[in-house]
Amino acid sequence: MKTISFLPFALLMLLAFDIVFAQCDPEFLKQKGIKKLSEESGYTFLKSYVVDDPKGKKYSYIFSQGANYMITLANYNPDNKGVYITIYDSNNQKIASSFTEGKFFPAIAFTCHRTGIYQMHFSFEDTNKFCAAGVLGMKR
Amino acid sequence: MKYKVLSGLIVLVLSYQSTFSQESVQDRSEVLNNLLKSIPSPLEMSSLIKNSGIKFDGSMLNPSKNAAKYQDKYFRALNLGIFSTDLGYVNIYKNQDTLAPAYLQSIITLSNGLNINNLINFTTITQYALSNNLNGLLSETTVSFEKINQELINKQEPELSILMLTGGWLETLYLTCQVAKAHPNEVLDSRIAEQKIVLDKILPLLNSYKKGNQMNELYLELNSLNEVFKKIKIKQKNKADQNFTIEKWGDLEVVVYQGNEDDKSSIKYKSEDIENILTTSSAIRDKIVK
Repeated sequence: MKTISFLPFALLMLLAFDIVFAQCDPEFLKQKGIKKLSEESGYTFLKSYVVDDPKGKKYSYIFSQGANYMITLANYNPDNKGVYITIYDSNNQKIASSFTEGKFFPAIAFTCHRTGIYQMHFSFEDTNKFCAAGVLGMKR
Repeated sequence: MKYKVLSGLIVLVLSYQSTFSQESVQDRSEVLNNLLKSIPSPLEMSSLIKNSGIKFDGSMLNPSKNAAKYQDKYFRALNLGIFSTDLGYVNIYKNQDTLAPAYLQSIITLSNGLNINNLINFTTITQYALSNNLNGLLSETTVSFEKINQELINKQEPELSILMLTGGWLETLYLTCQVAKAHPNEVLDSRIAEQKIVLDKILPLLNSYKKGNQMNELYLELNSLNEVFKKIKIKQKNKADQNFTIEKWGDLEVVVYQGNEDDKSSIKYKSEDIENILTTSSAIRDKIVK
């Protein structure tokens, strides 16, 4: 009896695990991000970032004065809901975020006025699919 | 009974140690990967050079035929970095038909020599090159280099990854200095001066991972380059501007931060500092590509 009642629970757990983890294909998401970067604005690809940790991921990059940067985000949600990026400058001050006015945006763009080491924090919010990619591009 | 408990405890301790050491290798690999990712792509400088209206000059590059000369891992890894920067420069100028295949071949030759072949998807790269898909091409070559780095870390040879990175950076600095010498340009000089920030990140990495006399010597030489960079003063204002607009770029909604021109960092250097950077970095590069 105990075994029979345990089975549906175990199946449910397996299904939940499958939904959360099994469909993560960062390469597919990277390509999605690159497509956004290329199609709209003539930015040149620089780096790509995988975000597959429920706690989010932190990366740093040395942005260069005078360059225009764009970061596109991609996840499995058509309107990008659930993932966002926040950028902090070398003084640890927040300079940009793709989650603003209560909305998740698929891209942010900014002109760097000070060369330095910047931190990019990729975070998840209101989602149970912890798989996303960020793509950094630049134009002069 | 006592024997069984003791054996159980030993197995437990051993399995804990093995898990722990695996985790620490993974952590170390992730930290190193993130550090490698933080160094600016050589494409930034190539792009700046091109957008300054300066014509392509293939004579500055390390000739692709040199690849066959490099017979030990130290030179192969450094020159793999150098050729990757050269390939980026070639690609930015869209010289894919002529020079790009030659530089790709050099990269494959050196990768074979380092036993990290099969990580470069030559077919896909060629397809992107033929269809003039620059971002596809850049993304595929970047992914290949990320795989090479990961493979070197997995093979317990992270020092080769650091050498690749150093070679790539040194070539970027060399190309920019050469262009700035031939076409004096304040913007290029400022970007050269700012390489101080990048070298500050590379030196501790080299120090942590250096192995053998050759790497030790390279570390000392880059330290002497760092002494030249120390004369450059970069001051940054402690102010962040968060003014943004939401714009529609085609189908894409983008949060655009304009920033403030007045926030620019001030970079103080003399023209002789730039000349010294050129002389010192060229001397280091010459020993590597010889």
